[in-house]
This record gives sequence, C-alpha cells and structure tokens, in this order.
Amino acid sequence: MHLVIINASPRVESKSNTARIISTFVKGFEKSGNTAEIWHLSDKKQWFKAKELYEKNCNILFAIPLYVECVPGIMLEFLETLQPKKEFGTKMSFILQGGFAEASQLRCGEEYLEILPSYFNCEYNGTLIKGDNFAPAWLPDKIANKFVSNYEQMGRIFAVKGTFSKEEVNKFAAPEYFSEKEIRKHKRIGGKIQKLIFRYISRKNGCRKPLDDKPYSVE
Amino acid sequence: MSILVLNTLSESNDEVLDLQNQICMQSEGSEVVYTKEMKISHCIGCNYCWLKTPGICTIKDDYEIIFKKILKHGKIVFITDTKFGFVSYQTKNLIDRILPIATMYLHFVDGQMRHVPRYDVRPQMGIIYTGKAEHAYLEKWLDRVTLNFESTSIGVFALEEGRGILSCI
Ligand SMILES: Cc1cc2nc3c(=O)[nH]c(=O)nc-3n(C[C@H](O)[C@H](O)[C@H](O)COP(=O)(O)O)c2cc1C
Repeated sequence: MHLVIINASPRVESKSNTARIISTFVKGFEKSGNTAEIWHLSDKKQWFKAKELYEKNCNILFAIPLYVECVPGIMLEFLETLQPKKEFGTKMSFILQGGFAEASQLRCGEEYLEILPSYFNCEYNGTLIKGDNFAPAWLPDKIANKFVSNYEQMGRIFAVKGTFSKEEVNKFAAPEYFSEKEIRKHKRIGGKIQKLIFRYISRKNGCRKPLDDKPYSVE
Repeated sequence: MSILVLNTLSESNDEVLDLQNQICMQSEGSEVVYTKEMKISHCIGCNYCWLKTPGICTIKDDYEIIFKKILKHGKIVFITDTKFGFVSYQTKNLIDRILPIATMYLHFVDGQMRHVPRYDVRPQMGIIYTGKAEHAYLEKWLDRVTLNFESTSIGVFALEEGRGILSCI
C-alpha cells in the first residue's frame, strides 16, 4: 500500500511532535514493503502538493495534534481547499495525539474524525489516539525518539491490518483515566516534580519570568 | 458580567445584526468585534506562551486586541459559519489562541488533568452558527472546551434559533 501522510500540525517540522511520531510510525509501516510520503501543513508551500496527492491517492492519513479538543485551525483551513472525492473508496485514517496523558482526553477529537471523512465522500478507516506527547519537542533528540518509539510497532500493525482496530488502539492509548491512587500520588509528588521540570526547561530557553506570570491586567 | 460577541462571518445579514444587538442589550458594557478585517493567524504551537514568555503570544497580530477583551468580559459568544459540520477555521483559530489564558502547570479537576488557569477569569462560551452543523457534536465539543478553561458552556444555537441564547446568557 502507498500511504499519503499529511502532518496537520502548524508547528515547524523540526519541532513538531507529530512529525516525530510520523517518522517512527513510517519506519514500522515500511518494514513490509509499503511506501509512504509525508507532507507538512506548517509549510504553506506544501499545501498544493498535499492537495494534489489527496486527489490522486486512495489511502490518506492525517496525523494531528489535538488542539483544544479537536483539530487545529490550520487543518480546517487546509480542508477548505479540498473537494469531496467523486468516487467513493478513498480511505481516510488518522493519528491523533495530545499533551494530556489520559486517553479520555482525546475522545472528543476522535469523535469528530469519525464524522469528517463523510464530508469528503471518503471512508473512515480508524484513528490511532494517544496522549502524553507534550514533551518530545522540548527534549534532546535521543530521549525524544525514545518517547515516541512505540509508534513503530503501531506502524507495523497498520501495515498488516490496513486499519486501526479499536481494541488495539485502546490498549495503546491506555489509561483511559488515572486511578484515584495515581491522582493522589500526582498531588503529593508528581505535580511538584513536573513543576521543577517545566521551570528547568523554561530557564534553559531564556525565560526569567515565573511560569504563572500575569502580563495583562484583569479588570 | 458583560458579553463579548466575536463575529467571524464574512457577511452579517439583518438577522445576525439584530441578534447581536439583543445579546449586547442583556448586559451593560457588552460589545461586538468583527474579525473579518482583522489580521489573525492560526496558533503556531510554539508553546512560548507557556514556557518562554509566560502569558504572551509570540505572534504579533490583531489577536492581542481580542485576548485583552476576553480577559475583560466574562462571557464570549462566537458567531460563526460552519464547515464540515464544525466551526469555521477562523473561529477555531480564535479559540486555539486563547491558550495563554492557562499556565503550563497541571492539576487534576474532577479526575482529569487540566492546566492551572493564569488569571482569575473563567470565560463562559456560546456559539451561534450559520449553515449546517453537527449540532450534537458541537454541543459536546463546547462542553469540553469550556471544561478545559474551567468554565461552562452557554450553549450552541443555529442562527434561526439564535434567540434561545438570550435566556441562557
Ligand atoms: C493551541 C493548543 C491547544 C492544545 N490543546 C490540547 C488539548 O485540548 N488536549 C491535549 O491533550 N493537548 C492539547 N495540546 C497539546 C498538543 O496536542 C501536543 O503538545 C502535541 O504533541 C503537539 O504536537 P506538534 O508538536 O506536532 O504540534 C494543545 C496544544 C496547543 C498549542
């Protein structure tokens, strides 16, 4: 199968978590002789090509960072350049990833993706969801790659099955919610460690303000 | 609490104008902003508003005007066109770029992870749309969006039933 992958993140490719996830996924996907090509919506010059390939191919995968519970504005803008397919039969698959860790956080976005292909006369072919993907962009390459390494296996499975099955996806995206015990632990120590990490990252990037600074006044 | 009406339509007919007036009459100090002629980019996902310049967006365009108004009014009503059953990209961009209203810090609210709000404001949000929408989905989505900002939804209304919002506001 030849797969056209469109990275719907507005973030520059070198920083995009979605881009990193796609590369890892494709490694697994191409193991069995499949081919894939990747286009990035963050680069406006690639829109025309991405549109053309959507028109000519019947296996399209949108890889999407969750933006306020749904797809990013830039993806909606790109979709406005596409026409519904004249003939039914194109499969639209999705990878949806977000920052919050629980799978439940991605369900609202997933629900929209289940509807979306019908607007393009395409067939919905499943969504691979997973959270806890905020960090890679802020980590050194080696650690960042490790962070997303399990997507390779999902690429391999997608190559064999040709679709994302709910069962497999749910296992991959777990936990749906954190247990009360885990939440208590976060309150006790996890939250404090996270704060320290965020502060460290921001300092390293030249930030001298507290992360909860209030630059605008509220009346 | 005053109301901020954010109108992203490319054209507003009398029905829209009339409804906007009625919404603004609900509360003193309310106002309408038409974004059509404004320069507003999509969010570029740099995360600088969380980790580098806390609370400040790196993109220098007209969104700052809107952001300040969001902090000022307690309620926001989006008047939007629909595409693919969802709000237009112009409206989604306005919502994506609200992000500096939250901090990077995380905490749990009702068993789910949320970002700790930066300010003591929790803007309620409502949507009035033209065209065809996945109505039930939009309602669910707006509930989730407002949950993220620790506020509540005012509701989603088709323009023809737009007056319904007046009793919810
Ligand atoms: C404007 C904006 C909104 C976001 N909204 C959500 C959200 O609702 N839920 C979530 O889990 N993550 C959310 N995130 C986090 C991103 O989905 C996450 O960081 C993702 O890995 C970014 O991928 P990218 O680097 O390819 O853009 C949001 C990020 C941004 C910039």
